[in-house]
Amino acid sequence: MSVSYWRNRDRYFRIIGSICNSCNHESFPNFYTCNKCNSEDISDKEMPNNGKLISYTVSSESMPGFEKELPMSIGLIKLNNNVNIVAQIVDSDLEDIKIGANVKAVFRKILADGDSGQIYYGYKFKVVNTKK
Amino acid sequence: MKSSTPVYISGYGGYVPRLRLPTADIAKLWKGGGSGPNKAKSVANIDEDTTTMAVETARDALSMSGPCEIGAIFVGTESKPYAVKPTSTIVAQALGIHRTLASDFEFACKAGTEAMQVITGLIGSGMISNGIALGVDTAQGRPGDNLEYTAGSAAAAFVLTNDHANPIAKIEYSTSYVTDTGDFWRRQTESFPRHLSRFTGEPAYFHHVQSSVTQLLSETNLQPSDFKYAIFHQPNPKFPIQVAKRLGFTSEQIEPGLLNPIIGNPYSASSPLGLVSTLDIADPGDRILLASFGSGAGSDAFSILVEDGILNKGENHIPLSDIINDNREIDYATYTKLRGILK
Amino acid sequence: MNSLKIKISGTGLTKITDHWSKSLVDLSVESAKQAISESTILPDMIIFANTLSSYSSSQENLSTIISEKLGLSNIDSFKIESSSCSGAMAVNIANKLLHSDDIESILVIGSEKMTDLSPSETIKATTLGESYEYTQFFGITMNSLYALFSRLYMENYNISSDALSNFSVLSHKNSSSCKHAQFNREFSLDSINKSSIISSPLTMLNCSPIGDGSASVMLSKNNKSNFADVDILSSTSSNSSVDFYSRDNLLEFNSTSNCINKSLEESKVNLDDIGLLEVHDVVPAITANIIETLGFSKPGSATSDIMSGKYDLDSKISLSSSGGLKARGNPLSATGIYQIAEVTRQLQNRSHTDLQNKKIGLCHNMSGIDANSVIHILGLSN
Repeated sequence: MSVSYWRNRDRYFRIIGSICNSCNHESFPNFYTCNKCNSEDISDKEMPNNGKLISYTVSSESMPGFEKELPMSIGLIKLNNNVNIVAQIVDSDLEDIKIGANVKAVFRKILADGDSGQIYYGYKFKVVNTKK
Repeated sequence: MKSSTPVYISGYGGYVPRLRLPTADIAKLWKGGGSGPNKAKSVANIDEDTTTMAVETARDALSMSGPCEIGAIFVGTESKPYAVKPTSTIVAQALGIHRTLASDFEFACKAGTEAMQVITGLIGSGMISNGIALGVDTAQGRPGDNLEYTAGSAAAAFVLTNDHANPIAKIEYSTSYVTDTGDFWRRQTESFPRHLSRFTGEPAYFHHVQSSVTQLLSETNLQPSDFKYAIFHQPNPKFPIQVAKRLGFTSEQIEPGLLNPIIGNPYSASSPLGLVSTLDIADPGDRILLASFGSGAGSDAFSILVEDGILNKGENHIPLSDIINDNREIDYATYTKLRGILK
Repeated sequence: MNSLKIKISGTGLTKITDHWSKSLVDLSVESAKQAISESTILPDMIIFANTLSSYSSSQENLSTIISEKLGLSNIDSFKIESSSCSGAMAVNIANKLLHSDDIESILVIGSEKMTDLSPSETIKATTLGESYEYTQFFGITMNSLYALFSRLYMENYNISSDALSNFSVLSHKNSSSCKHAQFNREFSLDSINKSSIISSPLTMLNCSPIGDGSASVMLSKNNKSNFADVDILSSTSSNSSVDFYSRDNLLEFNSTSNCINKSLEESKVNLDDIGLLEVHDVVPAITANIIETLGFSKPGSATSDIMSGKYDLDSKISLSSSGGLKARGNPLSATGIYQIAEVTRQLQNRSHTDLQNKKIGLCHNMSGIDANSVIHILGLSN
């Protein structure tokens, strides 16, 4: 697992997906061929770190290692470039987690491999601009 | 100490976790009532640590300074997530920076200002043009110990530069004073620090802070009245007030930078965050004294002169007071769950 | 496809439950022996459908291990895996092979052992079909993805979570007399809505359960069993994107819609002819969306249709006659084969229900949220 994490760390730290240099279509995760125009002229691109919630859920069950983070809020976010991403929602009041809420990416711990293994970091999101 | 080429602050950022533990909750459990010397302390959430806060605050500081060639990233902390593996390289990776010096500094609560000193030297020597100095901690106090009331979490970051185009502030002068004084320490495999109670006062905090500041004032020929603001390290609400008075600084001067009452003592971030808070309200021409204290022990003192660039912090900058005010209280039970988990 | 119709000449299935004392091999041999016995012939090939054997039983090459336990050798044996539609996919592959090769019969065994895992490992097991790097790594669970979809569906059509629970009510009603079903009791709408939240808005009794089970079907060119001929009128599969939220229209099930179009064309059957309907009913909103995509209900109307009795057991089109994934159970790779075995037995008039005049059934099996779909249309030979 740790090699896979190392391989993806830029994608996890900076939300790096793809842009098609032919038609400017963006994607996250990255693609190898543009799924709009089929071009193979693809570059890495950092996704915007702001967006809106288009769906959400609060989960009371967890994957192994995430037990202590329950209940876990998870959001489906439409980033400002129209790319959709699923991520945990943290540091947000439950009543602010709703469709249309503005969210911003934050850098957080995803998992620690016990007390002696590595710590994995990556993106999560939190609700912002709730005050008028 | 004064660098041969001028060094400025071109960007800064402060981060305080959202969660607050009222010290009354701690006192209720351990003393049956009352509260600590501070009202509340900031607590890192279960998925936050020194590294996550360092990344957030470094990004904010760089957002203010604008893109620049970074040659040093130094994280000052005593709560490194890894005993061996630098936090600073994770910060560098998260910023997309590779051709840089990177290291974690340890000197209790003065590791952040130590980083500022060293980066000032590197820039001043011409070896690098810009660097990021961070003071970050998720401080832990032994349950039931006095330190538990104040040990808090926060981060502060400063982008330092030789670019005189439109800087926020200039590092005019600095001093550093150290002795071997073991007022507070933690052995390798221990979870919590130990301290010598009242000994942490006179022989430790006061002696070192007074020494570094006195030397600075003497070498620069500046008086306390030449400073608009003063920030002292804040292990509790009282010490900075007392040392200010002894050195001739007023309560008005230290007020904007005095954060311990509401967030506790985030160790390496303590005085740096006071500087962030002060810069948020400072005007061009204001002179600021910054004096840290780190157990072990030592103190860094700086004279910082605010420049015109303070008026152009950029629309992305959120004042530290807004960040601090957006908080949610937790109870002691929740605090024990968050503490020491996902280490 | 040529005009040859492959037959379901034997079926076998175990009860779906926590089989503490039975291993993956035990369950597989049990259902396989029934299918062999019903068909009265031996298979020329064994295809094993399974998705968790490495993760839950540290075992691969099970097709060969099971073949050996059945006393069969010198035949082809291999595994098919396409997450939770492995079962129907294996039947689809078997059907293709029987059309193109000169083999007579293929035994398709679908088995899953889910309960040897700890609760959080089980959650991971159900999420293995989703992206490891961008879903599993971040602690996102399968049920939370279902919940994200459900909320989108509910918002789009203005249907409440409570109303959607009607699908679960029907499922449990139908499974209550089905011996092999995981659940043999009914639940009221109220108790389903008040059960604990798994991932909001999904309550526990709205999510398909975890269980162990194995189902087998013998596919052959000729039917040597004592039961009526049931033909595979069409067997189609299609794929789409794995991340449902990367699609242009997040409610569109392109894999399912491509499949149903191909199925109707291949089988020459109309939707109206279908009397038995099995869909991949993991959670109600997905069930509704599948039914609407297949064309049995108009978009947004499946819930009101089910409430008006359109899909009741004794109506023209019976939905989930054995309880579906929700109440009969969902041992992942076995599920698609349970569907086919159940519909076969219904058509042959030898199941727990006493449904008359059911001539044609449709089984829809899916992986993820319409990542793959597989549709079988089965019918009594004339």
